[in-house]
Amino acid sequence: MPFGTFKVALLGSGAGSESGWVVEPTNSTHGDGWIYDVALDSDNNVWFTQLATSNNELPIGQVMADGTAGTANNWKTMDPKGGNYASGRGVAIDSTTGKIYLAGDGINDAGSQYETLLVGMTDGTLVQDWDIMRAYSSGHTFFYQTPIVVGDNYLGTGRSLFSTCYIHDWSQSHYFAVTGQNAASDGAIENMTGGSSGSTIRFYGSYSQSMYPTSTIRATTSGNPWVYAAYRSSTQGRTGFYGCQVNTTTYNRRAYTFNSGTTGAVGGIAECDATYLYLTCYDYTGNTMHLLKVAKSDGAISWQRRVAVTNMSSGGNQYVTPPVLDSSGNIYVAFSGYDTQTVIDTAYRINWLSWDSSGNVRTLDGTTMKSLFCSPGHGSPAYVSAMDISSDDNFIYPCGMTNSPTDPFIAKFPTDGTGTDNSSALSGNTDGTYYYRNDIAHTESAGDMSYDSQYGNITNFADWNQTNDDVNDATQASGVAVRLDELA
Amino acid sequence: MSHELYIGPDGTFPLHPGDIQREHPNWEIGDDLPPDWRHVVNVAKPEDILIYPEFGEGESELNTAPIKHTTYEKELIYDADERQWSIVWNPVTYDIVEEPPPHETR
Repeated sequence: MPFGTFKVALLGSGAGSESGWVVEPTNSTHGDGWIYDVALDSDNNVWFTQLATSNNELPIGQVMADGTAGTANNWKTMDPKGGNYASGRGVAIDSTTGKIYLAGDGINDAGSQYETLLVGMTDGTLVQDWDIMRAYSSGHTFFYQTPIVVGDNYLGTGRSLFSTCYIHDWSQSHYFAVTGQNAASDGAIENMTGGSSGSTIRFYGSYSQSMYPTSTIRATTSGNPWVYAAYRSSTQGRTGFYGCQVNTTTYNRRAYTFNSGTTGAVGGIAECDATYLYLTCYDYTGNTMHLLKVAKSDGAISWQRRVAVTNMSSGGNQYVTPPVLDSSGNIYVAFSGYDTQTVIDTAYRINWLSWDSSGNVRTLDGTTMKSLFCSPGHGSPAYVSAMDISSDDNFIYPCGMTNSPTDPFIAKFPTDGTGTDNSSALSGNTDGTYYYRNDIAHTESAGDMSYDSQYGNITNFADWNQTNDDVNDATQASGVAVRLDELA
Repeated sequence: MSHELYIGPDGTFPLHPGDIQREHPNWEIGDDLPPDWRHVVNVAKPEDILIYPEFGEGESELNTAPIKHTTYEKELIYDADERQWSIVWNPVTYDIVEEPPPHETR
Protein backbone atom coordinates (compact mmCIF):
# COMPACT_ATOMS: atom_id res chain seq x y z
CA MET A 1 0.00 0.00 0.00
CA PRO A 2 1.49 3.37 -0.91
CA PHE A 3 2.21 5.63 2.03
CA GLY A 4 -0.43 8.14 0.90
CA THR A 5 -3.20 5.56 1.00
CA PHE A 6 -2.04 4.30 4.38
CA LYS A 7 -1.98 7.83 5.77
CA VAL A 8 -5.53 8.51 4.67
CA ALA A 9 -6.66 5.24 6.22
CA LEU A 10 -5.13 6.30 9.52
CA LEU A 11 -6.30 9.87 9.49
CA GLY A 12 -9.55 9.52 7.65
CA SER A 13 -11.60 9.70 10.84
CA GLY A 14 -10.06 13.00 11.93
CA ALA A 15 -11.90 16.30 11.92
CA GLY A 16 -14.39 15.18 9.31
CA SER A 17 -15.79 11.69 8.98
CA GLU A 18 -15.91 9.67 5.79
CA SER A 19 -19.54 10.68 5.38
CA GLY A 20 -18.42 13.95 3.81
CA TRP A 21 -18.23 17.59 4.75
CA VAL A 22 -18.48 21.22 3.71
CA VAL A 23 -15.48 23.40 4.52
CA GLU A 24 -14.75 27.11 4.36
CA PRO A 25 -10.97 27.39 3.93
CA THR A 26 -9.79 30.84 4.92
CA ASN A 27 -6.75 32.77 6.04
CA SER A 28 -5.96 36.35 6.86
CA THR A 29 -3.68 36.74 3.82
CA HIS A 30 -6.08 35.70 1.06
CA GLY A 31 -9.41 36.62 2.60
CA ASP A 32 -12.63 35.05 1.41
CA GLY A 33 -12.21 34.92 -2.36
CA TRP A 34 -14.24 32.51 -4.46
CA ILE A 35 -12.62 29.06 -4.75
CA TYR A 36 -12.46 28.82 -8.51
CA ASP A 37 -10.83 25.46 -9.01
CA VAL A 38 -9.82 22.35 -7.11
CA ALA A 39 -7.62 19.34 -7.88
CA LEU A 40 -7.09 16.19 -5.84
CA ASP A 41 -3.68 14.68 -5.24
CA SER A 42 -2.98 10.96 -4.96
CA ASP A 43 -4.03 10.99 -1.28
CA ASN A 44 -7.30 12.72 -2.19
CA ASN A 45 -6.18 15.92 -0.47
CA VAL A 46 -7.74 18.97 -2.09
CA TRP A 47 -5.64 21.74 -3.60
CA PHE A 48 -7.51 24.94 -4.40
CA THR A 49 -7.04 28.45 -5.74
CA GLN A 50 -9.14 31.56 -5.35
CA LEU A 51 -10.35 34.62 -7.19
CA ALA A 52 -10.16 38.11 -5.81
CA THR A 53 -7.88 37.68 -2.87
CA SER A 54 -7.78 40.62 -0.51
CA ASN A 55 -4.06 41.08 -1.15
CA ASN A 56 -4.26 40.75 -4.97
CA GLU A 57 -1.76 37.92 -5.06
CA LEU A 58 -1.83 34.38 -6.45
CA PRO A 59 -3.19 32.05 -3.78
CA ILE A 60 -3.03 28.31 -3.30
CA GLY A 61 -4.08 26.18 -0.36
CA GLN A 62 -4.58 22.57 0.64
CA VAL A 63 -7.37 20.88 2.58
CA MET A 64 -6.64 17.33 3.64
CA ALA A 65 -9.00 14.48 2.84
CA ASP A 66 -10.32 14.62 6.40
CA GLY A 67 -11.19 18.32 6.12
CA THR A 68 -8.26 19.73 8.09
CA ALA A 69 -5.71 22.25 6.81
CA GLY A 70 -2.65 21.01 4.94
CA THR A 71 0.89 21.84 5.97
CA ALA A 72 1.85 25.51 6.26
CA ASN A 73 4.06 25.47 3.16
CA ASN A 74 1.05 24.41 1.07
CA TRP A 75 -0.90 27.56 1.99
CA LYS A 76 0.97 30.23 0.15
CA THR A 77 0.71 33.46 -1.69
CA MET A 78 2.70 34.68 -4.66
CA ASP A 79 3.06 38.27 -5.80
CA PRO A 80 3.42 38.89 -9.54
CA LYS A 81 6.36 41.21 -10.13
CA GLY A 82 4.27 43.38 -12.39
CA GLY A 83 1.98 44.99 -9.88
CA ASN A 84 -0.94 44.92 -7.58
CA TYR A 85 -3.31 42.54 -9.27
CA ALA A 86 -3.53 38.77 -9.31
CA SER A 87 -6.23 36.17 -9.18
CA GLY A 88 -6.15 32.38 -9.14
CA ARG A 89 -7.99 30.60 -11.95
CA GLY A 90 -7.01 26.98 -12.04
CA VAL A 91 -5.03 24.25 -10.37
CA ALA A 92 -3.86 20.92 -11.77
CA ILE A 93 -1.83 18.02 -10.42
CA ASP A 94 0.30 15.67 -12.48
CA SER A 95 -0.77 12.19 -11.47
CA THR A 96 2.59 10.78 -12.60
CA THR A 97 4.83 13.11 -10.57
CA GLY A 98 2.62 14.70 -7.92
CA LYS A 99 3.71 18.17 -9.04
CA ILE A 100 1.18 20.97 -8.57
CA TYR A 101 0.45 23.66 -11.15
CA LEU A 102 -1.35 26.95 -10.65
CA ALA A 103 -2.79 29.26 -13.30
CA GLY A 104 -3.88 32.82 -12.74
CA ASP A 105 -4.02 36.38 -13.94
CA GLY A 106 -1.61 39.20 -13.17
CA ILE A 107 -0.66 42.57 -14.53
CA ASN A 108 2.44 43.59 -16.41
CA ASP A 109 5.38 45.65 -15.20
CA ALA A 110 3.86 48.84 -16.56
CA GLY A 111 0.67 48.12 -14.67
CA SER A 112 -1.29 48.55 -17.85
CA GLN A 113 -1.90 45.13 -19.35
CA TYR A 114 -3.33 41.97 -17.88
CA GLU A 115 -1.32 38.79 -18.38
CA THR A 116 -1.59 35.10 -17.61
CA LEU A 117 0.66 33.30 -15.16
CA LEU A 118 1.64 29.66 -14.73
CA VAL A 119 3.44 28.37 -11.64
CA GLY A 120 4.91 24.92 -10.97
CA MET A 121 5.44 23.77 -7.39
CA THR A 122 6.17 20.79 -5.15
CA ASP A 123 4.05 19.45 -2.31
CA GLY A 124 5.47 20.70 1.01
CA THR A 125 8.01 23.11 -0.51
CA LEU A 126 7.33 26.80 -0.02
CA VAL A 127 9.10 28.48 -2.93
CA GLN A 128 7.74 27.59 -6.33
CA ASP A 129 9.79 25.47 -8.74
CA TRP A 130 9.23 27.83 -11.65
CA ASP A 131 6.87 30.48 -12.94
CA ILE A 132 6.20 32.13 -16.27
CA MET A 133 4.05 34.92 -17.65
CA ARG A 134 2.38 34.80 -21.06
CA ALA A 135 1.03 37.96 -22.66
CA TYR A 136 -0.26 39.23 -25.97
CA SER A 137 1.65 42.02 -27.64
CA SER A 138 -1.28 44.42 -27.76
CA GLY A 139 -4.11 43.30 -25.58
CA HIS A 140 -5.19 42.02 -22.20
CA THR A 141 -4.86 38.29 -21.58
CA PHE A 142 -6.98 36.42 -19.07
CA PHE A 143 -7.31 32.88 -17.98
CA TYR A 144 -10.82 31.72 -17.32
CA GLN A 145 -12.43 28.74 -15.70
CA THR A 146 -10.52 25.47 -15.08
CA PRO A 147 -7.88 26.45 -17.57
CA ILE A 148 -5.04 23.94 -17.23
CA VAL A 149 -4.47 20.24 -17.53
CA VAL A 150 -1.35 18.07 -17.49
CA GLY A 151 -0.76 15.38 -20.06
CA ASP A 152 1.77 13.75 -22.34
CA ASN A 153 3.45 15.81 -24.99
CA TYR A 154 2.85 14.62 -28.50
CA LEU A 155 5.86 12.36 -28.52
CA GLY A 156 4.97 10.75 -25.23
CA THR A 157 8.46 11.63 -24.02
CA GLY A 158 7.49 14.17 -21.40
CA ARG A 159 4.67 15.92 -19.64
CA SER A 160 3.17 19.21 -20.71
CA LEU A 161 0.75 21.78 -19.38
CA PHE A 162 -2.10 22.66 -21.72
CA SER A 163 -3.81 25.93 -20.89
CA THR A 164 -6.42 28.17 -22.43
CA CYS A 165 -6.96 31.89 -22.03
CA TYR A 166 -8.87 34.63 -23.76
CA ILE A 167 -7.17 37.64 -25.26
CA HIS A 168 -8.47 41.03 -26.30
CA ASP A 169 -7.91 42.12 -29.90
CA TRP A 170 -8.52 45.86 -30.21
CA SER A 171 -8.62 45.72 -33.99
CA GLN A 172 -11.52 43.27 -33.96
CA SER A 173 -13.17 44.59 -30.79
CA HIS A 174 -13.42 41.11 -29.41
CA TYR A 175 -11.76 38.49 -27.24
CA PHE A 176 -10.42 35.39 -28.88
CA ALA A 177 -9.45 32.07 -27.29
CA VAL A 178 -5.92 30.68 -27.27
CA THR A 179 -4.86 27.21 -26.19
CA GLY A 180 -1.15 26.60 -25.73
CA GLN A 181 1.42 24.27 -24.27
CA ASN A 182 4.26 24.55 -21.74
CA ALA A 183 6.71 21.97 -20.41
CA ALA A 184 5.56 20.67 -17.05
CA SER A 185 9.17 20.35 -15.86
CA ASP A 186 10.16 24.01 -16.13
CA GLY A 187 7.39 25.95 -17.88
CA ALA A 188 9.34 26.26 -21.14
CA ILE A 189 7.18 27.35 -24.04
CA GLU A 190 6.36 24.53 -26.43
CA ASN A 191 4.82 24.32 -29.87
CA MET A 192 1.38 22.78 -29.78
CA THR A 193 0.19 23.09 -33.34
CA GLY A 194 3.27 22.02 -35.24
CA GLY A 195 4.42 25.56 -35.91
CA SER A 196 7.24 27.50 -34.29
CA SER A 197 7.76 30.21 -31.68
CA GLY A 198 5.31 28.65 -29.25
CA SER A 199 2.56 28.03 -31.74
CA THR A 200 -0.91 27.76 -30.26
CA ILE A 201 -4.52 27.47 -31.36
CA ARG A 202 -6.35 30.73 -31.98
CA PHE A 203 -10.14 30.35 -32.03
CA TYR A 204 -12.11 33.49 -32.83
CA GLY A 205 -15.47 34.85 -33.87
CA SER A 206 -16.67 37.63 -36.11
CA TYR A 207 -16.01 41.32 -35.53
CA SER A 208 -17.09 42.27 -31.99
CA GLN A 209 -18.00 38.67 -31.15
CA SER A 210 -15.92 37.16 -28.34
CA MET A 211 -15.17 33.50 -27.77
CA TYR A 212 -14.81 32.62 -24.09
CA PRO A 213 -12.97 29.32 -23.52
CA THR A 214 -13.00 26.99 -20.57
CA SER A 215 -12.20 23.45 -19.55
CA THR A 216 -9.09 22.42 -21.45
CA ILE A 217 -8.62 18.65 -21.75
CA ARG A 218 -5.88 16.45 -23.19
CA ALA A 219 -7.39 13.35 -24.73
CA THR A 220 -5.97 10.32 -22.99
CA THR A 221 -6.98 7.75 -25.54
CA SER A 222 -3.87 6.23 -27.03
CA GLY A 223 -3.25 7.09 -30.63
CA ASN A 224 -5.55 10.09 -30.36
CA PRO A 225 -3.34 12.94 -29.12
CA TRP A 226 -5.82 15.80 -29.25
CA VAL A 227 -6.30 18.80 -27.01
CA TYR A 228 -9.79 20.26 -26.74
CA ALA A 229 -11.38 23.20 -24.98
CA ALA A 230 -15.00 24.19 -24.54
CA TYR A 231 -16.28 27.66 -25.37
CA ARG A 232 -19.25 29.91 -25.65
CA SER A 233 -19.74 32.90 -27.90
CA SER A 234 -20.64 36.31 -26.51
CA THR A 235 -23.31 36.79 -29.17
CA GLN A 236 -25.42 34.55 -31.41
CA GLY A 237 -25.75 31.88 -28.74
CA ARG A 238 -23.20 29.21 -29.55
CA THR A 239 -21.56 26.76 -27.17
CA GLY A 240 -19.30 23.93 -28.18
CA PHE A 241 -15.74 22.73 -28.39
CA TYR A 242 -12.63 23.22 -30.48
CA GLY A 243 -9.25 21.54 -30.56
CA CYS A 244 -6.28 20.30 -32.51
CA GLN A 245 -4.29 17.15 -32.92
CA VAL A 246 -1.15 17.94 -30.95
CA ASN A 247 1.82 19.02 -33.03
CA THR A 248 -0.25 19.34 -36.19
CA THR A 249 -2.46 21.95 -37.80
CA THR A 250 -5.36 19.51 -37.95
CA TYR A 251 -8.16 21.41 -36.22
CA ASN A 252 -11.77 20.81 -35.36
CA ARG A 253 -14.52 22.99 -33.90
CA ARG A 254 -18.21 22.26 -33.35
CA ALA A 255 -21.08 24.45 -32.19
CA TYR A 256 -24.49 23.87 -30.63
CA THR A 257 -27.45 26.19 -30.13
CA PHE A 258 -30.15 26.35 -27.52
CA ASN A 259 -33.70 25.61 -28.57
CA SER A 260 -34.79 29.16 -27.83
CA GLY A 261 -32.86 32.26 -26.96
CA THR A 262 -29.26 33.08 -27.51
CA THR A 263 -27.69 33.42 -24.09
CA GLY A 264 -26.17 30.81 -21.87
CA ALA A 265 -23.10 29.57 -20.09
CA VAL A 266 -20.75 26.75 -20.94
CA GLY A 267 -19.59 24.39 -18.21
CA GLY A 268 -16.97 22.36 -19.97
CA ILE A 269 -16.02 19.07 -21.55
CA ALA A 270 -14.72 15.68 -20.51
CA GLU A 271 -13.50 12.79 -22.60
CA CYS A 272 -15.92 9.88 -22.77
CA ASP A 273 -13.84 7.54 -24.94
CA ALA A 274 -11.97 7.52 -28.23
CA THR A 275 -15.08 8.63 -30.08
CA TYR A 276 -17.07 10.93 -27.82
CA LEU A 277 -16.89 13.94 -25.51
CA TYR A 278 -19.35 15.10 -22.88
CA LEU A 279 -20.31 18.79 -22.90
CA THR A 280 -22.20 20.77 -20.25
CA CYS A 281 -23.88 24.14 -20.61
CA TYR A 282 -26.71 26.24 -19.22
CA ASP A 283 -29.55 27.87 -21.16
CA TYR A 284 -30.40 31.27 -19.67
CA THR A 285 -33.70 31.51 -21.56
CA GLY A 286 -35.05 28.05 -20.81
CA ASN A 287 -33.40 28.03 -17.36
CA THR A 288 -32.14 24.52 -17.94
CA MET A 289 -28.84 22.73 -17.44
CA HIS A 290 -27.74 20.55 -20.39
CA LEU A 291 -25.47 17.52 -20.72
CA LEU A 292 -24.63 16.28 -24.22
CA LYS A 293 -22.69 13.30 -25.50
CA VAL A 294 -21.14 14.41 -28.79
CA ALA A 295 -18.84 12.89 -31.39
CA LYS A 296 -15.33 14.31 -31.51
CA SER A 297 -15.12 13.89 -35.26
CA ASP A 298 -18.20 15.71 -36.54
CA GLY A 299 -19.99 16.94 -33.44
CA ALA A 300 -23.00 14.65 -33.91
CA ILE A 301 -25.13 14.37 -30.79
CA SER A 302 -25.40 10.81 -29.47
CA TRP A 303 -27.78 11.76 -26.67
CA GLN A 304 -28.53 14.82 -24.58
CA ARG A 305 -30.23 15.40 -21.24
CA ARG A 306 -31.50 18.51 -19.50
CA VAL A 307 -32.42 19.42 -15.94
CA ALA A 308 -35.02 22.06 -15.06
CA VAL A 309 -35.20 23.12 -11.42
CA THR A 310 -38.71 24.26 -10.53
CA ASN A 311 -39.05 28.05 -10.28
CA MET A 312 -35.49 28.66 -11.36
CA SER A 313 -34.99 32.37 -11.96
CA SER A 314 -33.55 33.61 -15.20
CA GLY A 315 -30.63 35.93 -15.16
CA GLY A 316 -27.03 35.15 -15.85
CA ASN A 317 -25.64 34.02 -12.55
CA GLN A 318 -26.05 30.33 -13.25
CA TYR A 319 -22.90 28.25 -13.44
CA VAL A 320 -22.33 24.63 -14.39
CA THR A 321 -19.20 22.56 -13.86
CA PRO A 322 -17.41 20.56 -16.49
CA PRO A 323 -18.58 16.93 -16.38
CA VAL A 324 -16.64 14.66 -14.04
CA LEU A 325 -16.38 10.89 -14.67
CA ASP A 326 -15.77 7.98 -12.33
CA SER A 327 -13.95 4.80 -13.29
CA SER A 328 -17.24 3.11 -14.27
CA GLY A 329 -18.07 5.86 -16.73
CA ASN A 330 -20.75 7.51 -14.60
CA ILE A 331 -21.01 11.26 -15.11
CA TYR A 332 -21.38 13.89 -12.38
CA VAL A 333 -22.40 17.50 -13.00
CA ALA A 334 -23.01 20.31 -10.51
CA PHE A 335 -24.70 23.61 -11.28
CA SER A 336 -25.87 26.63 -9.36
CA GLY A 337 -28.76 29.05 -9.70
CA TYR A 338 -31.45 30.90 -7.81
CA ASP A 339 -34.75 29.08 -7.38
CA THR A 340 -37.71 30.50 -5.51
CA GLN A 341 -39.00 27.25 -4.09
CA THR A 342 -39.49 27.84 -0.41
CA VAL A 343 -37.48 24.93 0.90
CA ILE A 344 -36.12 26.49 4.09
CA ASP A 345 -35.58 29.57 1.94
CA THR A 346 -35.58 30.77 -1.63
CA ALA A 347 -31.94 30.32 -2.44
CA TYR A 348 -29.02 30.07 -4.77
CA ARG A 349 -28.46 26.34 -4.53
CA ILE A 350 -25.58 24.15 -5.67
CA ASN A 351 -27.30 21.12 -7.22
CA TRP A 352 -25.71 17.94 -8.54
CA LEU A 353 -26.87 14.88 -10.46
CA SER A 354 -25.28 11.80 -11.98
CA TRP A 355 -25.94 9.83 -15.16
CA ASP A 356 -24.70 6.47 -16.32
CA SER A 357 -22.76 6.25 -19.57
CA SER A 358 -25.96 5.59 -21.53
CA GLY A 359 -27.54 8.82 -20.32
CA ASN A 360 -29.85 7.37 -17.67
CA VAL A 361 -30.10 9.69 -14.69
CA ARG A 362 -29.09 7.75 -11.61
CA THR A 363 -31.27 7.45 -8.55
CA LEU A 364 -28.87 7.66 -5.62
CA ASP A 365 -30.09 7.01 -2.09
CA GLY A 366 -33.64 7.40 -3.35
CA THR A 367 -33.46 10.66 -5.30
CA THR A 368 -31.87 12.07 -8.44
CA MET A 369 -30.68 15.52 -7.31
CA LYS A 370 -28.89 16.72 -4.18
CA SER A 371 -28.67 20.40 -3.20
CA LEU A 372 -26.42 22.45 -0.94
CA PHE A 373 -27.36 25.95 0.12
CA CYS A 374 -27.14 28.51 2.89
CA SER A 375 -29.97 30.21 4.69
CA PRO A 376 -30.78 33.02 5.12
CA GLY A 377 -29.20 33.59 1.72
CA HIS A 378 -32.35 34.65 -0.14
CA GLY A 379 -31.22 36.17 -3.43
CA SER A 380 -27.55 36.57 -2.59
CA PRO A 381 -25.52 34.70 -5.19
CA ALA A 382 -23.73 31.44 -4.56
CA TYR A 383 -21.70 29.77 -7.27
CA VAL A 384 -20.18 26.46 -8.17
CA SER A 385 -17.40 26.52 -10.76
CA ALA A 386 -15.46 23.25 -10.70
CA MET A 387 -15.49 19.74 -9.29
CA ASP A 388 -13.17 16.77 -8.92
CA ILE A 389 -13.67 13.13 -7.90
CA SER A 390 -11.66 10.98 -5.49
CA SER A 391 -9.49 8.20 -6.81
CA ASP A 392 -11.74 5.58 -5.18
CA ASP A 393 -14.83 7.13 -6.84
CA ASN A 394 -16.44 7.55 -3.41
CA PHE A 395 -16.63 11.37 -3.25
CA ILE A 396 -17.10 14.38 -5.48
CA TYR A 397 -15.63 17.74 -4.49
CA PRO A 398 -17.47 20.78 -5.90
CA CYS A 399 -16.13 24.22 -5.03
CA GLY A 400 -17.17 27.84 -5.33
CA MET A 401 -18.54 30.65 -3.28
CA THR A 402 -21.52 30.71 -0.98
CA ASN A 403 -23.49 33.46 0.72
CA SER A 404 -24.83 34.49 4.10
CA PRO A 405 -22.07 35.48 4.69
CA THR A 406 -19.95 35.35 1.54
CA ASP A 407 -17.42 32.55 1.95
CA PRO A 408 -15.34 30.26 -0.20
CA PHE A 409 -16.38 26.64 0.07
CA ILE A 410 -15.36 23.13 -0.90
CA ALA A 411 -17.77 20.25 -0.36
CA LYS A 412 -17.08 16.53 -0.14
CA PHE A 413 -20.23 14.64 -1.15
CA PRO A 414 -20.57 10.84 -1.19
CA THR A 415 -21.17 9.70 -4.77
CA ASP A 416 -23.71 7.15 -3.52
CA GLY A 417 -25.98 10.07 -2.70
CA THR A 418 -25.97 9.61 1.07
CA GLY A 419 -25.43 12.43 3.53
CA THR A 420 -28.53 14.51 2.86
CA ASP A 421 -30.79 15.61 5.70
CA ASN A 422 -34.18 17.17 4.98
CA SER A 423 -34.94 17.87 8.62
CA SER A 424 -32.06 19.96 9.87
CA ALA A 425 -29.03 22.06 8.95
CA LEU A 426 -25.50 20.71 8.97
CA SER A 427 -23.61 21.11 12.20
CA GLY A 428 -20.08 22.33 12.72
CA ASN A 429 -18.20 25.60 12.90
CA THR A 430 -18.73 27.18 9.46
CA ASP A 431 -19.83 30.80 9.16
CA GLY A 432 -22.91 29.85 7.17
CA THR A 433 -25.90 27.71 8.06
CA TYR A 434 -25.69 24.99 5.41
CA TYR A 435 -28.39 22.61 4.28
CA TYR A 436 -27.72 19.50 2.19
CA ARG A 437 -31.03 18.13 0.98
CA ASN A 438 -32.61 15.93 -1.67
CA ASP A 439 -36.06 17.50 -1.97
CA ILE A 440 -35.60 20.40 -4.38
CA ALA A 441 -38.19 19.92 -7.12
CA HIS A 442 -36.85 19.42 -10.61
CA THR A 443 -37.36 17.48 -13.82
CA GLU A 444 -34.81 15.54 -15.85
CA SER A 445 -35.60 14.74 -19.48
CA ALA A 446 -34.25 14.54 -23.01
CA GLY A 447 -32.51 17.74 -24.07
CA ASP A 448 -33.57 20.00 -26.93
CA MET A 449 -30.35 21.63 -28.15
CA SER A 450 -29.34 21.48 -31.80
CA TYR A 451 -26.06 20.78 -33.53
CA ASP A 452 -25.19 23.91 -35.47
CA SER A 453 -22.04 23.86 -37.55
CA GLN A 454 -18.28 24.23 -37.63
CA TYR A 455 -18.75 27.67 -36.19
CA GLY A 456 -16.05 30.33 -35.79
CA ASN A 457 -12.52 30.43 -37.11
CA ILE A 458 -9.49 28.47 -36.00
CA THR A 459 -5.84 29.05 -36.93
CA ASN A 460 -2.29 28.77 -35.77
CA PHE A 461 -1.12 31.65 -33.51
CA ALA A 462 2.35 32.48 -32.24
CA ASP A 463 2.01 35.88 -30.57
CA TRP A 464 1.50 34.73 -27.00
CA ASN A 465 4.85 35.87 -25.66
CA GLN A 466 6.46 34.41 -22.60
CA THR A 467 8.57 35.88 -19.79
CA ASN A 468 10.18 33.57 -17.28
CA ASP A 469 10.41 34.18 -13.52
CA ASP A 470 7.71 36.86 -13.35
CA VAL A 471 6.39 36.00 -9.89
CA ASN A 472 8.13 36.71 -6.58
CA ASP A 473 8.98 33.80 -4.32
CA ALA A 474 6.03 32.38 -2.44
CA THR A 475 5.44 33.19 1.20
CA GLN A 476 3.31 31.36 3.73
CA ALA A 477 -0.24 32.55 4.24
CA SER A 478 -1.08 33.52 7.81
CA GLY A 479 -4.07 32.80 9.97
CA VAL A 480 -4.97 29.57 8.15
CA ALA A 481 -8.25 28.01 9.24
CA VAL A 482 -10.62 25.45 7.78
CA ARG A 483 -14.13 25.72 9.19
CA LEU A 484 -16.04 22.47 8.75
CA ASP A 485 -19.59 21.13 8.87
CA GLU A 486 -20.08 17.40 8.67
CA LEU A 487 -22.75 15.81 6.53
CA ALA A 488 -25.40 13.74 8.15
CA MET B 1 -20.85 9.55 -36.80
CA SER B 2 -24.00 10.95 -38.25
CA HIS B 3 -26.31 13.84 -37.46
CA GLU B 4 -29.56 11.92 -36.99
CA LEU B 5 -32.79 12.85 -35.24
CA TYR B 6 -35.66 10.61 -34.17
CA ILE B 7 -39.05 10.69 -32.49
CA GLY B 8 -39.38 8.27 -29.59
CA PRO B 9 -42.23 5.85 -29.02
CA ASP B 10 -43.88 8.27 -26.61
CA GLY B 11 -43.54 11.20 -29.03
CA THR B 12 -40.43 12.70 -27.43
CA PHE B 13 -38.45 14.86 -29.86
CA PRO B 14 -35.61 15.42 -30.53
CA LEU B 15 -33.90 12.13 -29.78
CA HIS B 16 -30.61 10.79 -31.12
CA PRO B 17 -28.91 7.47 -31.90
CA GLY B 18 -27.72 7.07 -28.31
CA ASP B 19 -31.31 7.37 -27.09
CA ILE B 20 -32.29 4.38 -29.21
CA GLN B 21 -29.22 2.46 -28.06
CA ARG B 22 -30.12 3.11 -24.43
CA GLU B 23 -33.21 0.96 -24.95
CA HIS B 24 -31.87 -1.26 -27.76
CA PRO B 25 -28.13 -1.69 -27.12
CA ASN B 26 -27.44 -3.67 -30.28
CA TRP B 27 -29.11 -1.20 -32.63
CA GLU B 28 -26.82 0.72 -35.02
CA ILE B 29 -27.42 3.56 -37.43
CA GLY B 30 -28.61 1.98 -40.70
CA ASP B 31 -30.48 -0.84 -38.99
CA ASP B 32 -34.25 -0.91 -39.19
CA LEU B 33 -35.69 1.28 -36.47
CA PRO B 34 -37.12 -0.47 -33.42
CA PRO B 35 -40.93 -0.47 -33.26
CA ASP B 36 -42.58 2.94 -32.81
CA TRP B 37 -39.39 4.95 -33.38
CA ARG B 38 -39.56 7.39 -36.31
CA HIS B 39 -36.78 8.93 -38.34
CA VAL B 40 -36.74 12.70 -39.00
CA VAL B 41 -35.30 14.31 -42.12
CA ASN B 42 -34.04 17.80 -42.98
CA VAL B 43 -32.05 18.03 -39.76
CA ALA B 44 -29.34 20.41 -41.02
CA LYS B 45 -29.87 23.87 -39.60
CA PRO B 46 -29.49 26.70 -42.14
CA GLU B 47 -26.68 29.16 -41.61
CA ASP B 48 -27.44 32.29 -39.61
CA ILE B 49 -27.84 35.57 -41.45
CA LEU B 50 -26.04 38.57 -39.96
CA ILE B 51 -27.59 42.02 -40.35
CA TYR B 52 -25.21 44.98 -40.35
CA PRO B 53 -25.77 48.71 -40.04
CA GLU B 54 -25.34 50.55 -43.31
CA PHE B 55 -21.66 50.48 -44.15
CA GLY B 56 -19.80 53.78 -44.31
CA GLU B 57 -16.75 54.39 -46.42
CA GLY B 58 -14.02 51.90 -45.60
CA GLU B 59 -16.34 49.77 -43.51
CA SER B 60 -17.27 46.18 -44.16
CA GLU B 61 -18.22 43.07 -42.23
CA LEU B 62 -14.53 42.78 -41.38
CA ASN B 63 -14.55 45.84 -39.13
CA THR B 64 -18.20 46.39 -38.31
CA ALA B 65 -20.27 44.62 -35.70
CA PRO B 66 -23.59 43.14 -36.83
CA ILE B 67 -26.63 44.51 -35.03
CA LYS B 68 -29.02 41.60 -35.54
CA HIS B 69 -28.84 38.00 -36.54
CA THR B 70 -31.42 35.71 -37.98
CA THR B 71 -31.22 32.16 -36.76
CA TYR B 72 -33.64 29.25 -37.07
CA GLU B 73 -35.78 27.35 -34.62
CA LYS B 74 -36.85 23.85 -35.43
CA GLU B 75 -40.47 22.80 -35.89
CA LEU B 76 -41.37 19.16 -36.33
CA ILE B 77 -43.98 18.41 -39.01
CA TYR B 78 -45.33 15.37 -40.74
CA ASP B 79 -44.87 15.71 -44.49
CA ALA B 80 -47.91 13.88 -45.80
CA ASP B 81 -46.71 14.03 -49.40
CA GLU B 82 -43.41 12.36 -48.61
CA ARG B 83 -44.92 10.35 -45.78
CA GLN B 84 -42.11 11.21 -43.42
CA TRP B 85 -41.35 13.37 -40.42
CA SER B 86 -39.35 16.47 -41.20
CA ILE B 87 -38.06 19.66 -39.62
CA VAL B 88 -39.13 23.07 -40.80
CA TRP B 89 -36.58 25.70 -39.81
CA ASN B 90 -38.40 28.89 -38.87
CA PRO B 91 -36.36 32.10 -38.98
CA VAL B 92 -36.26 34.26 -35.88
CA THR B 93 -34.30 37.48 -35.59
CA TYR B 94 -32.54 38.62 -32.43
CA ASP B 95 -30.85 41.89 -31.58
CA ILE B 96 -27.16 41.44 -30.87
CA VAL B 97 -26.31 42.92 -27.50
CA GLU B 98 -22.69 43.18 -26.46
CA GLU B 99 -21.87 41.90 -23.03
CA PRO B 100 -18.86 42.48 -20.80
CA PRO B 101 -16.27 39.72 -20.71
CA PRO B 102 -16.79 37.00 -18.10
CA HIS B 103 -13.95 38.17 -15.97
CA GLU B 104 -15.31 37.56 -12.53
CA THR B 105 -13.68 39.56 -9.78
CA ARG B 106 -15.93 38.66 -6.87
